[in-house]
Amino acid sequence: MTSNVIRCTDRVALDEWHVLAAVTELPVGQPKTTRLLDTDLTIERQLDDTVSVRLGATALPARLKFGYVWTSLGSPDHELFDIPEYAEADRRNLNAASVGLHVSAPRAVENFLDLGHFAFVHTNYLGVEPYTEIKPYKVEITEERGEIIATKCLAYQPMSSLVATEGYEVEYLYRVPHPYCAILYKANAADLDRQDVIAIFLQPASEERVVAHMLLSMLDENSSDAEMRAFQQLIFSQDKPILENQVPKRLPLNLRSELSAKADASSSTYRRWLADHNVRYGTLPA
Amino acid sequence: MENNKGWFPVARVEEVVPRHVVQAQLMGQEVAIWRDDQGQVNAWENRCPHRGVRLSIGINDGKELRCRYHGWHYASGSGQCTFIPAHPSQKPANVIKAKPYGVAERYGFVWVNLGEDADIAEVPALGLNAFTTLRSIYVAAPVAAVAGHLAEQGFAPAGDFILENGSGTTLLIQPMDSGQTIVHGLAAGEVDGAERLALLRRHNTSLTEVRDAAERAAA
Repeated sequence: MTSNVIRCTDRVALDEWHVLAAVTELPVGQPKTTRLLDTDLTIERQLDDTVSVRLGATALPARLKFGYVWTSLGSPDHELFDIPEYAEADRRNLNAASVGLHVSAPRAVENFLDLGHFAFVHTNYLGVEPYTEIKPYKVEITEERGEIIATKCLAYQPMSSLVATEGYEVEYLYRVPHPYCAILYKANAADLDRQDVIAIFLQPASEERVVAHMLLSMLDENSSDAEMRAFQQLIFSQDKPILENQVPKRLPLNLRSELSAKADASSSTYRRWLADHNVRYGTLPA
Repeated sequence: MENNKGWFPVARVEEVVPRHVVQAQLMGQEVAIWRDDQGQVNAWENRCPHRGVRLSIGINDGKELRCRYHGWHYASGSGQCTFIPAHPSQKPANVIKAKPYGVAERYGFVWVNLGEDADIAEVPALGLNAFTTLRSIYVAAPVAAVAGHLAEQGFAPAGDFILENGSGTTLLIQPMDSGQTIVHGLAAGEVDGAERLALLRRHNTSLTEVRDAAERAAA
């Protein structure tokens, strides 16, 4: 439902920063309407590349970070999380895509953290049978920022990125610093000591409808922007029909609602973490 | 028409072909219907118990249904999970299973019962030894509204969700949810050629009127 009054009652979602758009994709001087937490907002990029966000006539707080516009409908008591690698001089930073999805933000985050679907959904790219076993990995919540971190996540990948020339076992690290955002670090195919960074920022338009904004921060001197975007969009196009066929669309936080295996350690931790943080928007209560 | 644990036709038998999965809906519940290579039909709750993905987008390998998301295998008949690819050397726990509904094939239809311990003996006996299957018609209106307009075409209740017109046509009602209905039809006797064509056309004309009137009223 279209609305320019705030109808969302989830205090946690209201007081959080949320992504709205990739700055470079906004036309200059032409206001654009977008939806956040069931509320229609107006974004406008000025000539000097500052961006304003309005709810009706009221100006909302705006931040520019990682090449995206962020706002809040409430009063955040914290700044947005950081991705230090984004500032490294030799990185290629770009928005791979902003894609509408008929699903809740937490279902999309969970898919982003998931290792077990690679062989079935991203066949011949991020996985292939019979390399389906998920070895134990470590999931913890950091003391400093209370983020979820999953480490030592291993996956055999036939074509892990545009740079990969052969299949190999890739190590991933995942961060969840925000209820609707996640970041992955995966070993670069050309320089095994450094990591490519891919982040997914979900803009919750409604509880069951999101825009997925995907940030690439890559170590790749050869591929064009278009090639890097096309690879990521191909991968995401394989996830989209899966995500849109999950029932219910909201993520159940009761760990007995859906049955988990050991490989789902990240997912189970994320569900508990959302319940502990009282995130109700896009979830079903525990 | 209150008993929601009854038997209802949800698909034509010939739609449920080998190595395929059909999606149907009954009383607001989505059902995944598939036939194994032995010919046995399964009707399951249309979601994988792992992460809720519709099983109707899964893969029917002739023996088991595999979920499209993580490749978990579910056995024909019991719905028991037999294999989790992420843990290939471990036997899945007994509690991991797809939810099977009661299922039967009669009068050219796949019938489903959403209730616990569905009894196949309770599939309605229509008293038809030979029949001609008519077109099934979808109506975007509630069952009660559709039944009202069917009465105007001479159909009277002959059981729960069953109507007859006194001249050999039996209608079977599939309530998809509170606003959508499918009307399946059978005519007594087997007819061929021009006679069959005339019968199908008559039925189509009559049910199209019912659909249009019910949808106009519901809009």
